Amino acid sequence: MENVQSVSKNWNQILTEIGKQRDREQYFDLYQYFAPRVKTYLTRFTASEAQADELAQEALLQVWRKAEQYHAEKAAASTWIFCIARNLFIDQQRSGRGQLEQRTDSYHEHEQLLNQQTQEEGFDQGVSNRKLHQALKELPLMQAQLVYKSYFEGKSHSEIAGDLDIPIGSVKSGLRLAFNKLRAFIIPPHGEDSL
Amino acid sequence: MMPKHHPDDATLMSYSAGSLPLGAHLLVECHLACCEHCRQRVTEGDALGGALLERLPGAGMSMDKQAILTLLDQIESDQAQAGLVRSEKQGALDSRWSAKNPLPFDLPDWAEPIKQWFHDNQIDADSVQWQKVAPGISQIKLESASFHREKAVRLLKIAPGTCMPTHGHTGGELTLILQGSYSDEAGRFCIGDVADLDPSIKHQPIADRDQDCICFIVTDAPLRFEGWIPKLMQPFFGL
Ligand SMILES: [Zn+2]
Repeated sequence: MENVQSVSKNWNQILTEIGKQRDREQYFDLYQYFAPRVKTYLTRFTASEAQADELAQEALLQVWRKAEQYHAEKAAASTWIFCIARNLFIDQQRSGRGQLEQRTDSYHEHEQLLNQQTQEEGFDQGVSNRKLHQALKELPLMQAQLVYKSYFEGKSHSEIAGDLDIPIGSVKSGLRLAFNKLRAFIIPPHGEDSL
Repeated sequence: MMPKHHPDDATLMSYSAGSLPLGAHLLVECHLACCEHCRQRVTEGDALGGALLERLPGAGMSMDKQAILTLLDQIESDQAQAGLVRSEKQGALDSRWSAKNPLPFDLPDWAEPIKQWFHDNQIDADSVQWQKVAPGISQIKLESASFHREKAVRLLKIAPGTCMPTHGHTGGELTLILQGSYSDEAGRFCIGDVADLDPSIKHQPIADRDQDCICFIVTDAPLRFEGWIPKLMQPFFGL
């Protein structure tokens, strides 16, 4: 991981090339960047670290298997990989194998990690859409918390309402506001690589 | 067909996040199949997910480089072998999708995921029947352990012209119209439309007169702190 984060990488292009050339070294670069993040993401939805590891492994192997189906003009590599990981855990829930039991309120503990990470020098050069990342950082605390709980704790509107002791209507309007702000920075993927 | 009423942006965002309970997820999946507008929104929600993924700190992976490269080799040789078998499998998948509709009414093409749910849960036509719950109103419940985060996932059939009692909700409620139409304070809801209601909203739907109105309705679990709501105010037969 040492160099991966500090050097700008065009993951969209790399993933496209992996699909065409099946280059193992290129895949390993991508793996080193994404697998640990996918694992952190899945940790919230699995019963143990080992299970998160296994599922992240499975997600990244799907990336290798399906790389030919990736189209950079349709989605950023990070988006495509996110969807693979998310669909995997939804399938798990469907088949009853998923254990969405770890329903702890992890926002604060995690928020610290997120801040540490973003303060590391060069971090933002590694990400694919800097403006969106900036907009995420600038969200008001409550909205950031709602987005976080939706994406990383997998909680529904009523579950979030219960956690924060606010009406469901406030959860929905907060998410709407956040989404509207962030949408402006979600630009077509082929335009976002000029870092 | 262009739906006029859509799920709330917050609901579409939660769909992208993968955080909707599975009944609601199924409902939104059907609506997306017939709504370009919402598909676009979900694409944006997915992009947000991708960006958020990149912001996460990494956790150490257990496998080393050599083990991964070995796995890749394994996949390559498996895929080469499976190349021949794949077309057969695709055929099996197609026939699964064109399997008989177990429901006692015609489903629109875009509502395939509902049909798929009955197949996945091995529920066949013999065990799917409308149950009368009130004059002019009957239901088919979709029961599954995987719906444990929701209060009820059901199909509701409302006879033409039936006026539902005014009711509120203890949790959120999503309604997708599969056939016919109804009208309430928010307007007229036709095939493909979604009503995405907050618990605070009270409404009185009236099925339009020309035909049965069939809806897919998902009711969210009530909030814990709303347990004090008096019985009298509890919604009509749990809707
Ligand atoms: Zn729509």
